[in-house]
Amino acid sequence: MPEWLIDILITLTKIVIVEGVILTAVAYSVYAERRVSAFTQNRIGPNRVGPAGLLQPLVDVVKLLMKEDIVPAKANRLVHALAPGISILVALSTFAVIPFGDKILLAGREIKLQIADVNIGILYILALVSLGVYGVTLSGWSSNSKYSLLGGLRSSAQMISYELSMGLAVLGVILINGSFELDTIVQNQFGWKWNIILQPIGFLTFLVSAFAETNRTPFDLPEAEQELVGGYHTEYSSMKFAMFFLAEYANVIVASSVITTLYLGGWQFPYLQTFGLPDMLVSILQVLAFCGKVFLMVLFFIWVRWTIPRFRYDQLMNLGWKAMLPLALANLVLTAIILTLFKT
Amino acid sequence: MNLWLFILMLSSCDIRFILLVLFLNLSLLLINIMIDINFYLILSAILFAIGVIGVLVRRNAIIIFMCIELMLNAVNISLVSFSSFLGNSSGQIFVFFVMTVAAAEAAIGLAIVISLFRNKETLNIDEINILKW
Amino acid sequence: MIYYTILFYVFAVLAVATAFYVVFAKNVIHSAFALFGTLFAVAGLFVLLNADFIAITQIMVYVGGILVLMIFGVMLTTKIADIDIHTKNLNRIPAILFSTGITVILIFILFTTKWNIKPQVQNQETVSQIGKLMLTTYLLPFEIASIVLLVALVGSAMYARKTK
Repeated sequence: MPEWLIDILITLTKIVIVEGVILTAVAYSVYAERRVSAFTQNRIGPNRVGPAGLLQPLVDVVKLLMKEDIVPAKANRLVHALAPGISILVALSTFAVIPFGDKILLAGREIKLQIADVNIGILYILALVSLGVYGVTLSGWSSNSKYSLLGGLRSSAQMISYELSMGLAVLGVILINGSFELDTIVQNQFGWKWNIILQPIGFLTFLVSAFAETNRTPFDLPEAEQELVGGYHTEYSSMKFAMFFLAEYANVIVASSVITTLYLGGWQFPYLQTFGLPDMLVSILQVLAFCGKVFLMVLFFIWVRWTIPRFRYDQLMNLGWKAMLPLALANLVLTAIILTLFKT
Repeated sequence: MNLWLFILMLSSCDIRFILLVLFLNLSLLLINIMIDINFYLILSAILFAIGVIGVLVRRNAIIIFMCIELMLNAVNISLVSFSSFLGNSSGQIFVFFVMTVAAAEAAIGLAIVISLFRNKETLNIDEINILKW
Repeated sequence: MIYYTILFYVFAVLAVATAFYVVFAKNVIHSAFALFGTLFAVAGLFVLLNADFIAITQIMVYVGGILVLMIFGVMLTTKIADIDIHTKNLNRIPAILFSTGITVILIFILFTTKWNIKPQVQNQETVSQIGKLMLTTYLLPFEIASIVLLVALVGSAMYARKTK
């Protein structure tokens, strides 16, 4: 086989594996959310389909597929159909630049455990995050319903506001590493040098902004059930609704992976290389470490959702513009000062 | 163009077939030309002209904004192509400043549009003529 | 090299077609959608021109910022079912003649000028070069740009506020 064909095949295999794992993880994070919420509220949760309810996500997908697809009268049909697609496409394509393991040697060939190693990885993620607004806003506008429109308007204001503090928080990490490349950032976080220790304020702002960007409680105003019926996806049903649903959980998983990569050491497991294990085992353990960290972050997202009540709209905007933005700026200035003073 | 194809084309008398063959030949011809700076500059000129048409023809303030962004983008293409073909990054910096100004302009412009809509309930710029004698 | 050429034509045709749709679409939201396509195509052209940083900035600033603002404006200024969001066109023929004239003049200038071009360098590092230039040669414009942004921020907030 020619060299370029092998390269293409390797990349395709990586894409299929990663997207397959993510879609499965999305289905099971819905299950995890229902079980954890039940646990929080002292209920049992889904436990009938399969052992401990483990087949529940599959049944849910089949149920949603069988439902009737309703489009409201006077809705803008084209935009109405495009919006869920944009949402899920943006959520899934963010994963292209996230490294989920070190290089491995397979049949004498070095394979990077990352779909695309671009030299502006962080900017790519930020750009895709800013595209995420479209799905929500357009679905809200095109549905021709006041609840949807309110949800869409709220979400665009919210996501644009929190994007700023997100970008500023990331700048601290970029300053420390001097690179936009996610692989370099993970490589630099060996041992105890995780960015959460070097950048605690940046981590906090990034975490809060990530909650706002994924529209999760305490910032789930775009879909506030009690005020807006269901927010931007009120008028959606069947597979289109399922796509929004999947996109939300895919966003949670992607946000967890980005946080893990930027602040929690990515696939690094402290001092794993010093134990003298075989190389292959080390690589597998590193991938498992990445998955474990992402899983814990997803659990954290779910935990917060069922513990903290929703913010009011003015509180949300105040927090974004008067607390998070100055905090992120202060973090940036502080990092720059410390780096100029102490960088060897 | 192959001779037998040409004869076949003329003998078939089917306009769709003739167009298809012409299109294929044209694209073969185009693909074999090396892309140099003129291609990008012509594209930039065309995009700029489309933007000009939009500003002259449309009467909706938001569409006029979009057309101005189109023209700015056309200029950006030519700046980046100069930067790339002259081996000098300064062009890209100009693009950066153009984007800054475009962002500022969009924010201010939208604020003006929204306050105009509050006062006059229209976006047709022919009806927004309070400064006109 | 053939891939480069094909990609150039794909992006160029996409950009021009969607730009036409921006100008001539009857529905404002369709125009906004078409502009989305144009901006992406232009970002693709930037990648072909080895300006990856500018390409991603294009997506962040134009697609993620400016276009969202425009869609926001469309949404705030049209009630979905009540008001017709379709707008009419005026003076088509003179406008098309005028801009065709502009294009012809521009292309004439392009072909009569001798450009002092060098061969393109593939895959060079652009981010650090841009950063260095921006903080040395172009420091003053950079600072002025930040002031422009600040003034725009304050100004638009003042403008959109309800005056009482």
